[in-house]
Amino acid sequence: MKAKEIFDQVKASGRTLLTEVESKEVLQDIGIPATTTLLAKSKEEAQSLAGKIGYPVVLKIVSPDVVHKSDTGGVKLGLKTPEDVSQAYDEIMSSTKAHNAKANIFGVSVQKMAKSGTEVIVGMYKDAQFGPVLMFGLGGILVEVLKDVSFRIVPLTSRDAKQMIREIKAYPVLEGFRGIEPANLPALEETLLKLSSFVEEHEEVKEMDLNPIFAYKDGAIAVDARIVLES
Amino acid sequence: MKDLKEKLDRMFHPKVVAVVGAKKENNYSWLRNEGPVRELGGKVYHVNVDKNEWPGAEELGFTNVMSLLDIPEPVDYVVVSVPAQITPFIMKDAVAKGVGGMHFYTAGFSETGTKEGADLEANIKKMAEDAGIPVIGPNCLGIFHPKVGLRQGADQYYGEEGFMGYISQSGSQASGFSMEAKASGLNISKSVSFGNGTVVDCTEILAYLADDPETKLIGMYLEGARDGRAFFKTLKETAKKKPVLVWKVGLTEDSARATESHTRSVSSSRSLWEAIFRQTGAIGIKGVDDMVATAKALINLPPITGNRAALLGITGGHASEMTEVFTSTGLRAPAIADSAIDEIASYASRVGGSFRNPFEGPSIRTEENFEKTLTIIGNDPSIDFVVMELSAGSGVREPGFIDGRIRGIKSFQSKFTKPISVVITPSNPFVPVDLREIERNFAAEGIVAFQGMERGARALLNAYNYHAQKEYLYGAG
Repeated sequence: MKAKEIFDQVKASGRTLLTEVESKEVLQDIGIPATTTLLAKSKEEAQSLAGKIGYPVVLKIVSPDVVHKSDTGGVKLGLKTPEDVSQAYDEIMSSTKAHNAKANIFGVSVQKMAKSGTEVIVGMYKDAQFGPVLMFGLGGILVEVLKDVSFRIVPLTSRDAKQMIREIKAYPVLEGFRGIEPANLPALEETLLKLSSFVEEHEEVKEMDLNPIFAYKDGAIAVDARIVLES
Repeated sequence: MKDLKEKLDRMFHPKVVAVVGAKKENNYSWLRNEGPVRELGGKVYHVNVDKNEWPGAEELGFTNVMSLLDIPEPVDYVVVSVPAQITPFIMKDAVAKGVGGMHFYTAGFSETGTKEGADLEANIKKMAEDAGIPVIGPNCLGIFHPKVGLRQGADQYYGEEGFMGYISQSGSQASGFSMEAKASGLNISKSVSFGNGTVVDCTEILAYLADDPETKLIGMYLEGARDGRAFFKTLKETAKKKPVLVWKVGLTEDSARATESHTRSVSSSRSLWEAIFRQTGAIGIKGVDDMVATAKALINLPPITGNRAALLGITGGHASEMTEVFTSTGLRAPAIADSAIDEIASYASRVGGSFRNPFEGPSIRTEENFEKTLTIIGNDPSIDFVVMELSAGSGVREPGFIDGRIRGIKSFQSKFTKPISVVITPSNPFVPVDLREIERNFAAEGIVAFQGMERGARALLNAYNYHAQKEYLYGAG
């Protein structure tokens, strides 16, 4: 589906926050690789989708009322069997309801457990003076504390994208540090540039988070995504 | 605004200026500011409905009229200083007269945070835009164009040309900078204090100065821009053409509150501004001193195309301090080639000095050795530029010392295109020396001198970063 159609649907349902499944569909339309993520509305559907996608899988709560999924027990990783999926489904449901009994639950998302890579985050927000801004950094808790991120105002040139990746302090990690697999920098640059043109053309986008993106030697893939529209 | 460039040209080169609302109470200073226009071939009228203010203006040689409409010829530039509540009436007359452009000293608009102020400002905007009249301000000191005698303050110079453009939200920052720059030998081409930027904002002025042939580089004191995206775009286009030095204030929580109440500016984070500098090639500046020093480094030195400095100190201690200061900024001071070291050792003792970089002692003490060593540095491909430290006291203790250094530097300049400059350090507070005077003496000989190591290091780093980033963004040349 086209991003525009997804946005219209979300707006028509009175929401501004896209679900992970919707957000990843948008990324697919932009041409940014994201893990294939399918919505399951029941436990049985989750098991059947997991079988189709292939184990191991990840289950995540899909609800417009849950923003920080892992903080409320809404994420289960590395599920290897239908039994694992069944148990994870029950746990996610009860934990989410325990945190917010009124949460509107669409179901769970089922996706293949991606091979772990260097965690990278790419974000977009709107500055009151300068409009859309892209942010880049490494994922993980240390980066949050050290605020080791770089910014660029949209639109970005390819030189901007190159420089913004290289100016974070943790850049040597992306080059391959002490046995860590080096990240595919052109793939990350491409992600930034595609995002830049996309937000330039879609003023209704208020915020985007691709967090995390797993960067590998031969590419990069968004494992989780969140898009917020202007109200 | 349509034909803005032509309209600003007319404002900046007025044949007829009208000053509205001068007052004895402040010694007719608004009239005095524009007074030199008359010496430089223009006319200045004083407009005031209060006839009690007429005799004072007449004593200063100005013609008084009741209204803009009473001026018997076209008016190119109107300077207004009346209470905010009166501004709609002045605007009405200005529109009827078809004036070229206007500037409002007057404060009391949106910056007060009141509805009344915001409404009065919106009224100026609407009337000016409907009539196509460029308005500068309100809440500012307007134009300083020394060549034609338009000024922001009566202590500013006139009748002189300059090459540095300056754009400042604040009037005191604009007029203050013009004097600081002048004291370091930098003349202003055109400067504008634009206050609330209601009609003509920093973006339009920046675009104007970008294409102004008199202006070789542009400095900005900025609290905020009305239309951030337009500003960003114009900054990028301008920085491609000439250096733009931006001193942004309001980057901390408390200073953001200050700039909001001063000029109603919205703040963005420091990291975002740093990104803007990277993206556009503009240079982030830390204050007035940094602005003056960086402007000198960019205008008066050949391009600094690498970050490797040769550092020459008066003593071992100064040389070590200098190396610490310069290389802490990110500049480098690499050891020179072994062959160069051997060559210096053929005429200078290794005892009591060093000459691997930094240099101090026998290799540079006498005028002859100073010249020889500079030549070796000039030929060394591992060095991009040269900085000599001069402890101000030595010039006083040893007559002729500074003259010898000047001769040595000039000889270097005649042989090499590598940038060479001087940092002056105050060595002994009990020896009375005027650093500015030494700086000017060097300048008179075509040598760039900075006051203090830190200021020099930062200015040279800025100049290096400017050239490096410009090349990264836009390619060489």
